[in-house]
Amino acid sequence: MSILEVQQLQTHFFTNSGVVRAVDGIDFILSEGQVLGLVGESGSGKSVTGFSILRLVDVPGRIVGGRILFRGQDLAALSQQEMRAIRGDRIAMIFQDPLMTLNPVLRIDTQMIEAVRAHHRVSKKAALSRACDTLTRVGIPSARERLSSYPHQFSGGMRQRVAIAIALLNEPDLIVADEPTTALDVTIQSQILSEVQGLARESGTALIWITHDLAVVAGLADEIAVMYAGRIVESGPADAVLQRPRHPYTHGLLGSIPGLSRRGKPLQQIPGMAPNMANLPAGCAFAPRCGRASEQCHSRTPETQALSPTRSLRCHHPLSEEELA
Amino acid sequence: MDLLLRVVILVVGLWLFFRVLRGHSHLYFSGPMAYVSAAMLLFFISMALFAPEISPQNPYDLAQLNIMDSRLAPGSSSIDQALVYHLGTDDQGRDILSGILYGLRVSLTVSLLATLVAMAIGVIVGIYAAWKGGKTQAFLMRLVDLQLSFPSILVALMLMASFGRGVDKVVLALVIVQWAYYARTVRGTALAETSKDYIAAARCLGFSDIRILFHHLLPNCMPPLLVISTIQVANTIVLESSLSFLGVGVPITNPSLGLLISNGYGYMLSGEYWMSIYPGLALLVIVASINLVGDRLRDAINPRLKR
Repeated sequence: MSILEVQQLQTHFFTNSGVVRAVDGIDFILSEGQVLGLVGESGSGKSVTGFSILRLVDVPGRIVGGRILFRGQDLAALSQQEMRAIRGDRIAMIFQDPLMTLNPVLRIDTQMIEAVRAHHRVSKKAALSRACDTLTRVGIPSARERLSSYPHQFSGGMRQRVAIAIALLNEPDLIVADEPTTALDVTIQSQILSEVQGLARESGTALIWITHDLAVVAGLADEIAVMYAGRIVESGPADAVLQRPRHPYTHGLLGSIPGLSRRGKPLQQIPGMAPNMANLPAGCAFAPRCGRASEQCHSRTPETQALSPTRSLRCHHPLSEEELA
Repeated sequence: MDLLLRVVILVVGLWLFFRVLRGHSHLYFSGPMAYVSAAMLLFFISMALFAPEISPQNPYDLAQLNIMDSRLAPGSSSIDQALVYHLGTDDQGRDILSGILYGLRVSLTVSLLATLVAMAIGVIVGIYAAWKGGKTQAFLMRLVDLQLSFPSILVALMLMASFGRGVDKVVLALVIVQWAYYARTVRGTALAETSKDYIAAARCLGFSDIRILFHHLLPNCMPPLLVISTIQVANTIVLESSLSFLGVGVPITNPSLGLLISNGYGYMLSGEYWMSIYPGLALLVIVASINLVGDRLRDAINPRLKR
C-alpha cells in the first residue's frame, strides 16, 4: 500500500526577479517501509520538495499545484491545524546540520518530552521513558544520563543521532531526511546510514532521503529519483538507475564520482553550471550542458515516458542499452 | 503578618537566584567581585525590605521628629539624647540613615516594577514583530524608532509634567520610555534566531506558534535581554532619581534616593554635605552592585558562552 503519492506537485517562489519554479510538476509514489533517494545538485529543488510535503514552504514560496496524498489524504488541502497534527507525528523531518537543529538552550529531555506531548496525552514520565528508549535505539550509550545534557555537550554525530531519535519518537509513517549525513565524517555517516536503514525496516517507516551524494543512496535507497531544475528527469529502482542510467544527466553525475577503478584517468565532469531557476532555458533545462542535445531539445520540453512499470525518463535522446554496455 | 510577608519575599528572591544559577553556581562564584557584589546587593535589598525594623526612626512620622534636631552633623545626638544620628539629619530634623533606608525601598520598588513591565511589553512586541514580519514589523519598529529618537529623560519629564507626582505615575512613565529598548533588542535577536534550523525543526514537530515563540525562540533571545535588563534596572534607578531630583518624580511624602539628594542639595555649598552625599553614595553603590551581579549572572548562565 502506498504511504505517499505525490502528483504533479508544483512549488513556485514569487520573487522580485520573477517566478522561480523550484518544483515544477513532480510525481512519485512511496510504499510502506520503502526508501526513496531524491538526488540532485544544489538548487535542483530537492529540499523544497521535502518542505512542500510538510507544507513548510516559507514566503515568497507557495505550493501552486498538484496533490500530496498521504495515506489517501491530500495534505495540500488540509487546514493549518490539521497539518500541524500530522507534522512531527505521522511525518517527521531530519535536517542537514545537526549543530543547528537542536535548540541550544533546552536540554535534550525537555525537547524530547515536548515532541511527544505535542501529539499524545501522556505523562511526563511516560514521555521520558519513551525518549530514553528511542535514544538507546539510535545507538546513544547511557541514554538515561545523556538525556539531561544540553546539545552543545554532544559531538556532531551524536547530535544527529539525537535529531534522528526525535524524528523517530512518535513512530512516524514517513521521515523526510534532508541531507542528514552531509555534515558528518564518512565513518559516522556510514554508521548512521546503516542504523537508519535498520530502524526504517524494523518499524516500516518510509524514508525520503534527500542528498547529492550518489554513494549514499546506492547503499540505502530502494528507489531513486534524479532531479534537475525542479523536475524529476529519471526515476526507478536504485540498482537499475545506478547501473544503467539512461538520462545523460544521471550518466554525467555517475561519471563525475571519483572511483578506485578509474585511477589516473581524468574525471568526466558535466560542463557548465546549474541553470538560473528564475530564467530557465526553453525546452529541456539540461540541453545547454548536454552533449547529446539536438534542435528539438532546445525547443520542446521532453515529456515523462515510462520505460517499464517502475522506470521513467524525461529525455528526447536517452542513452541506449548498447551505449551503456 | 507584614514582617512575615517580607521574609517570604526575601526567601523567594534568594531561591529564584539560586534556581536560576542551578548547576552554574561555581561559574558565578568564581572571583572575589562576585561575592562582594552579591553580598552588597543582598545587603541593600534586606535593608530596604526591613527598613521599618532597622531604622532608628520613621522619618515620615511627624510625631517622631523634632525641629530642634535639624541639620545636625553626622555622629551628633538628638536633643533629648534618645538616639545618635550616625549620618546626620536634614533640615526637618529627619535622620539621614533612616531616610536612606526608606528611600531605598521606593527606588528599588519603582525601578524593578518598571523594568519588569517594560520588559514584558517590549518582549511581546519585539518577538511578535520578528515572527510576523512584513508590514506589522515595519509599523512596530517605526514606533520603536520614534520612541527611541527622543531622549528618555525628556520624554519622562514631559509625561510626569502631565501626569503629576505619584509612585504609580513614575512607574508608568518609566515603562513608556523603556519598553522600546527591549522591543528592539528582542526583535533583532529573534530575527537571527528564527532563521535557524531548530525553529524549522520545531515547526516540523508540529508545535503551535505560541509554543515555538515563547518556549523555543524566547529562551534563545534571553542572553542579550538579560544584559540590557540588568543595565536597565540600574538605569531606571538613576532615571527615577533624576526625575525626583528635578521635582517631578515620587511625592515628597514618599521620597526616593533622588529626592533625598535633591532635598540636601541646597545645603551642599554651606558645608552641610551629609544630606546629599550619603544618599548619593547609597545610590552609587547599589547601581554598581546590580550591574556587577547582572554581568556575572549572564556569563554564568549562558550555555553558549560555556567552554
